[in-house]
Amino acid sequence: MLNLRSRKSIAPNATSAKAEADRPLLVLSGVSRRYGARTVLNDITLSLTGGESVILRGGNGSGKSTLLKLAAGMIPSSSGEVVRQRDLSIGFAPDRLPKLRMTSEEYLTHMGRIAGMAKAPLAQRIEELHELLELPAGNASMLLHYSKGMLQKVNLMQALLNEPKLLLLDEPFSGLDSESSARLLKLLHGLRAEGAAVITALHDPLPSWESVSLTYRLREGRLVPEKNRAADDVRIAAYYELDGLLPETGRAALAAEFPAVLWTAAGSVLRCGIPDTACEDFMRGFWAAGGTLLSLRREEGTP
Amino acid sequence: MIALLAYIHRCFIRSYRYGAPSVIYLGIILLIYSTVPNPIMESYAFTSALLFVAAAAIGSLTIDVETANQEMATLAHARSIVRLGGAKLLYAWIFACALGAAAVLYPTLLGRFERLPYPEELAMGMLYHMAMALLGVSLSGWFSVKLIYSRFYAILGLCIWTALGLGAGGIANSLPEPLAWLAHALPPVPLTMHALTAYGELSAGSKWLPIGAAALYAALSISLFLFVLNRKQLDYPGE
Repeated sequence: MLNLRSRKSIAPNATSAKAEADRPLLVLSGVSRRYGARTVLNDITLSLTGGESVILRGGNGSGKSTLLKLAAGMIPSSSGEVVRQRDLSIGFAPDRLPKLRMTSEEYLTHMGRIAGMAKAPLAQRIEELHELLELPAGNASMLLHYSKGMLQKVNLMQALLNEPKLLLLDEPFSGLDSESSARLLKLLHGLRAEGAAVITALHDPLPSWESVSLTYRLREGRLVPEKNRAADDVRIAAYYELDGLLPETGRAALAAEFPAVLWTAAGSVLRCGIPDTACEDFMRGFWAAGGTLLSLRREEGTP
Repeated sequence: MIALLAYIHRCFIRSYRYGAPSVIYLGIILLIYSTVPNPIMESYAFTSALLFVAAAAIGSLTIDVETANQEMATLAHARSIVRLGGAKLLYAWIFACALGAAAVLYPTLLGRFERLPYPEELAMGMLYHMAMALLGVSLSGWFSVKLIYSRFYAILGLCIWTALGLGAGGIANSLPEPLAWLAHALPPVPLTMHALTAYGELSAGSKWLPIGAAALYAALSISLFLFVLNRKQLDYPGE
């Protein structure tokens, strides 16, 4: 099915369902990517099976998008081997979708038809995705007139259209408001639980996703594993939900100081789920970092 | 493939990229047929040569109709860059053939020729236009941002190559004998122009030769381009 420069394909094995589930969907072995004299990715080794999630972090130009494109087979590697499971369906969301002269339904219908989906299930899937990501279906406006957040939703919808087994997302939360971010997060958790593997390139802290993901940082072209800050502390019986604005620098410092806080970012607006025991200290840090409080409320249960 | 063609059609039409080559081509046709009477096959020789240039422009505009990010998403669904690139070239050819049909039928239906063309002349005229459209489109992929970093140099290269194609006959004659074979690398446009201007004097085989030569040249050019594209994937010089 996928014919995107897959150097080899892993043949399906019907001997055991367990073995099939454990079979890696994607394996990168010693993969490097050079542009002229510049090495963007250096000796990357990564394996991903169904239900696994990987977060890629790194500064601008660190190679996150290049790695995603390599994993999708959209660019060839300079050396090393990329192996994908045969018939692997891949959903790919680039960092942004351009403003096209077509409506979201027209665009998604075209993408679904190109992917080989039948008309009726496709129409149903498009409606379902519009509902899931809270974008009005049947909107006659062209993407040309959409806001950044609305475009990002359409971008994510096209990636999720064919219920892919491997989902590659480049900054998926960029431009989304806090409510849409939360919905997307729930959707990703659901997909992962259903056995899809997900690789996301992320800038902002996202503890609830980090808690179920392996996080890597791209440093000088190499993948360096990071400790998941939220993995040890996601059980929050009661918490405070804070909506506010916080500069980027303060955000990183607070995230490091309060690893148990759950962050959802939509541009400059943040939503933080703060354990009740840490709320006082967190708020002091928040004010000190120049934060602007929009609302703060106590909630029962977990965020 | 039909789904890809439908998508490319929507992108192309709504981008208005078709405007300049179509308007210029149809405008020139209206201009040359503003006076009557006109010789049939000689007129077709001119409009088919002009279609070669217009088709090259249409192909170039179609192959780059998507932005880089848009193309990534499309490729993820199409699953094959050969299918995606091939669909773009096929669409450009169909679009150019529609312009060719206008060039063949307009003067016939409006009586702009010295007489009514025979069915064979109409059919061969259409085939020559389709062959020239295919030849033009087959060059376009090589002169796009897929392979050339700067769009300016891509357009410049396409202009030079199409001009060389139009003048291939003269170039072949002026090249020294050991280098004469180089002329075969150029698109065989003069064969068609010659066949149409001397149509009445040619044997059946000589009439079909330019169509076969154009089809062969185009098939080689497109196959090689898609092979290169398959190796590069979306690794464009501009990326």
